[in-house]
Amino acid sequence: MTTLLTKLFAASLGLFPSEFRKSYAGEMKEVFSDRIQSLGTPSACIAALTEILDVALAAIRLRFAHAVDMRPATIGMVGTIVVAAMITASAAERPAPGIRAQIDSIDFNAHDPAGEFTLAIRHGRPVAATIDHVPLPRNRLIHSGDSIRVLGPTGRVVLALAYYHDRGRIEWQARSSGCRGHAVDCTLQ
Amino acid sequence: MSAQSESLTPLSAAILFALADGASHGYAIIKEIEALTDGEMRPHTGSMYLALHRLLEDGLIVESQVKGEDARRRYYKLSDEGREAARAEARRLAQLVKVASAKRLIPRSAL
Repeated sequence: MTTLLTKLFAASLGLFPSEFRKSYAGEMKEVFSDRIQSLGTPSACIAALTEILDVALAAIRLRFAHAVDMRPATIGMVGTIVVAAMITASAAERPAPGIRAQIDSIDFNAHDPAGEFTLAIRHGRPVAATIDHVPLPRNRLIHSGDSIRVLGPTGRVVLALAYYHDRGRIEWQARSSGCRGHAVDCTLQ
Repeated sequence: MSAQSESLTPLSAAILFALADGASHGYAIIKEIEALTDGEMRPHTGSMYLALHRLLEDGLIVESQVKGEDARRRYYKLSDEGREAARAEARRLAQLVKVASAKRLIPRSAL
């Protein structure tokens, strides 16, 4: 029974993209068989069903992320983000930011009276930032909903942005010129 | 803007916590998470490997060259960045618990 269930589970892994399968399918099969080998037949069947359902959901989540990467409509959406962010920036009378959008990623470069900063967003999540060309540790990027906050060394917010993925806008609270030269640890007022 | 919170999912955070003591392989990570959460969290294989994949992509974990008891398996360990992220998440959770405790939302028996 264990062999049959493991084969079913292995077949369900076909739902994942091939690159993911190449990296993890072998391990996942081992983990699955470890999990069910100590169970009786009814429990093993139930466990296998829930595991296969979970694989299907995880594969959909991963494939959705990939689809967002690849579809032309998505490229159009990213383009919208670029244009809207530029419009937002100029409407706020800030210097126009340079934004480089790639398939699934946004690299946002901008400056305000305190100086220059960059923010890299991957799959809707902030993954890297610099302030005055100083790279910041990733744990100082706080993401919640449409809010992205960048913390200074003392844990205070030094830069606050709003990333409206669905509306294609990035806004931020301009930092004062008083922070110029030490924007990395200059707290927002 | 809403209240601050790390962008880690509960499962990703649990994986980072499970790896805090050293490198481990997928099945051992699942068992460790079950033990750490008194069985409250029982990660399924698909979700677990999706989370591991994303943590690897984000550079919060890396594959360990040092194998443990089972050399056939792939071992994962925290990167320096991952350890910092785990610390930051722990601080955030501790702060939330403090707030909940002050609001008397946590029964004494749970502390």
